[in-house]
Amino acid sequence: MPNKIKFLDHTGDSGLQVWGNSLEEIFANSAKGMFLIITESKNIKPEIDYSFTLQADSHSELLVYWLSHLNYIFSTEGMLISRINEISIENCKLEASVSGDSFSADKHEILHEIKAVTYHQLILEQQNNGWFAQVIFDL
Amino acid sequence: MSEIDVKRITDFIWEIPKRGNMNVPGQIYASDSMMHDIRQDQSLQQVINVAQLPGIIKHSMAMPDIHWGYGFPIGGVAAFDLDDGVISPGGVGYDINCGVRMMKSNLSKQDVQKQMQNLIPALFSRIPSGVGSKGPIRLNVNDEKQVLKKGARWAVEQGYGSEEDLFYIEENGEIANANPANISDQAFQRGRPQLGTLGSGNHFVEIDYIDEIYDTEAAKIAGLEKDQIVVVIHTGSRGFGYQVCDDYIRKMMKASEKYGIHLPDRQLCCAPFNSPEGQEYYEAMNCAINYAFANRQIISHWVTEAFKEALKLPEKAANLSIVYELAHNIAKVETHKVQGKPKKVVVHRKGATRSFGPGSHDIPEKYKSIGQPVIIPGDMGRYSYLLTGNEKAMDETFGSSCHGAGRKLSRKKAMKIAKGRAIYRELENQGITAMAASRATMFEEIPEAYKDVSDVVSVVHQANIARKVARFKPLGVIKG
Repeated sequence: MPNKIKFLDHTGDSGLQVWGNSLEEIFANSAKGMFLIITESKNIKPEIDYSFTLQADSHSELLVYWLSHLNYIFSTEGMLISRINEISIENCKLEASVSGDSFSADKHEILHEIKAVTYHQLILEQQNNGWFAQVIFDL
Repeated sequence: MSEIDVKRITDFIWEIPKRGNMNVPGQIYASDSMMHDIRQDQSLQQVINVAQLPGIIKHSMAMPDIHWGYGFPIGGVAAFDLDDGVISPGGVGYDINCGVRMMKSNLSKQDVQKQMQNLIPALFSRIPSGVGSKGPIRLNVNDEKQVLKKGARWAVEQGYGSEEDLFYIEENGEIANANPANISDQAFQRGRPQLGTLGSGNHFVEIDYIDEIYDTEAAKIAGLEKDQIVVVIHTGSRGFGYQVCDDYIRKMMKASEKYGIHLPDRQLCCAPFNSPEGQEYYEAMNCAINYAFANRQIISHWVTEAFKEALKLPEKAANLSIVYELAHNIAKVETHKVQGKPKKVVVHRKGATRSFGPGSHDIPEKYKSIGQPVIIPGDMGRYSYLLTGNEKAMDETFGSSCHGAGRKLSRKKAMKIAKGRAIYRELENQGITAMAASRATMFEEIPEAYKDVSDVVSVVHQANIARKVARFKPLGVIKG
């Protein structure tokens, strides 16, 4: 399987290509990739836990909702996610438990503000040797 | 590379003939060399996609700063019939009412040049910028609702700037039909701490001096002269607007299905303007428009305070006042001539500005003889322009013009080129003092990452949709 996360080079914005063995792994890797766009910092301790549930009409929509929700938590509570503890997806319903740390200018260098997770060129598909996703972010 | 069939109509106007599912032709404003670059990405296909939406009138248009976006291209303009046509969040953008305010002062380059080392840090400390920045303004839910209804007027009522400022803002800084009941809790939460913040990326406050006057009469009416210090603020509706757009893209995807609207691209999701979903988005978008008006009004006030604090000019006050402020991500109901008769349409401008000609009702009295000011910012190393709207824009582009230069290099490429360079010192050597909240921003926003805005401005000037008045160059900039 290729590298799990690849960053796409777009003129105005940013994107990810992600591989995984399962749908859950795709979601987890997408989140890790998104936070690497937000911050270069490897110094995010899993101090705070957060659990939530999301529902969508399709898995690709759920992927956008998942990343949007994590971006929303960062945007409103300053929470940088460092660890996906548990994630389960069934019938387009996601239950997740994540951990992270509050953003602090002393500890974390923020690279980009993600305005939104877009549906542009969104791909989520099962392939021969696993799953693949592509997501573009508006910066 | 795009092989789409494009016909030259004039030196600066190109047409994509109506074919297939297009309801109208595409019309692109560009020079020969620009058209070659435009073909390198998907923006022409996006012009074609927009032309397929129901109720679109005349043309699916693109200004010379066109580049690909989400759904609509950036630099896209499209007007829709109110009865048969649609409204689309993708035709506005995530940063609803991202826009530009230009202020003038009674100071000259000579007054200020040697004091930039004081002025720029003063601006930087007063104006919260950067990702995750929170403003000092504390809003409760009711306050926030008032911001969404009143826009810049709310800010004036709180003591930021004066009543007179409102005359020189598009829509007087307060757009009607804003309904906070259509706003999600998430958007309220995202917006509450961010009022009075600049944001990051290509948002900025810039101190410039006028280095060229092209139209002495128009410059005189605008109160501008060579070497005069002007200030440009570029920011929008922050996380509030991004969340409103995000919320309504989800709703509009369902609405598109409900109304049987064929979408060549999911990000073109829309609803009939007069449908409940269309009106709900319209009224929510208007809330975000007002949020951005309030945001720029507050930041503007802090710019004035920074000038007072930092500049040692006992015999001279800066006397900052607004030349004009306009939006470049917006959808508005306007009256335009369609087949010779006045007709109300909903004009979507995504990375495009209003450019109303002389005599237009909706522009300040002061500018009626010359047309509405159109501010076109360039990158932080070169120049920006002031133009005025022209009658040709009213005939051809629903009173619209370009909004900026557009990126040439991706952020990654810009970072690669900038790595190891002393960007701040390079700018200082050009006479520009810069401060940014993030090192990444400075690298990604280096001047060579952007196209030359003078090429874009030249096209709109020669196509007569806006006319050059003045050019101004940076002395200092703060970025997020």
